[in-house]
Amino acid sequence: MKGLMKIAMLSCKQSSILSEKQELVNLSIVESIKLKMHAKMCTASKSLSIDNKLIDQAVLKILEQRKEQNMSLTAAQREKILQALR
Amino acid sequence: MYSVTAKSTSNSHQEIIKWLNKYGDDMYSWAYYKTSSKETAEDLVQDSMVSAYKSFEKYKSGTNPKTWLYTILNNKIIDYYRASNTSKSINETSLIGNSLEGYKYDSNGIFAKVQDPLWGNTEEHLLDNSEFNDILSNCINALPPNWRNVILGKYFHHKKGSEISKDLGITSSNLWQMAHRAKLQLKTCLDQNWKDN
Repeated sequence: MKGLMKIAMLSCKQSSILSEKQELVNLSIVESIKLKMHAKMCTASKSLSIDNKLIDQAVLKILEQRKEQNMSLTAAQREKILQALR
Repeated sequence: MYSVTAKSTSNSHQEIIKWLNKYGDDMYSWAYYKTSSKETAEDLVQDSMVSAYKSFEKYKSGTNPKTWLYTILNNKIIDYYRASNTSKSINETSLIGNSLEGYKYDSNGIFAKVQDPLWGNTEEHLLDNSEFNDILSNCINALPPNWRNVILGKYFHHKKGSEISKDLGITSSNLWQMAHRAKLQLKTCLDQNWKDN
């Protein structure tokens, strides 16, 4: 029974990796069930998952801001490029 | 980095300098957006301008030079992504990843310590908090290049896993692992640098 549980249950680490995988591809039915079972039972993973969702939103926001950010080459950087073109 | 050694016509040289003045800042902003590193962005713009100069004869007169320069720049960015995933850098970041996971999990892969979330019900407040955003921005910049590129690939273009793996020249299982470790590192970085006021 213990062995069966071990096969059926994910560790926190496996669960975190599957959470990331889930954002990039569809999980298999078995993976999906295992992930849901783990999430229901593990407080630490639940806590990490809350943090991860916020990190996702915040990273997205930062990158969107960077997209709109207009940066300028400094005089020194421009000179370096001109040197390479000589 | 390399420089032009062959003498090209003064016309092409003048033209490239004109383009650098006209599009250089936009290219720099784009490269920074794609790599999160000012030094890398500068190198990529330089490499792109030098490549454009060297292959100036391939530019079709009358077409938009900005489009042509961006094609060159985007190819340089992909080359940079691939180069950051050399076996040496993967080995180095594997060590960082193992140590990070060793700190977070016990030998059975269970969290060694239950941590409260960094924040309670303050998500909206935090997302608008410039100090928090600055810290997270620095945390993103401080990620090992190959982990950072996974994060950037995922959020920039909302690419599929298979596309990101292909761009970065890594296997899909490596991709999940890197994404997981990058997120763990960001969380650790925030744990260490951010205190909710």
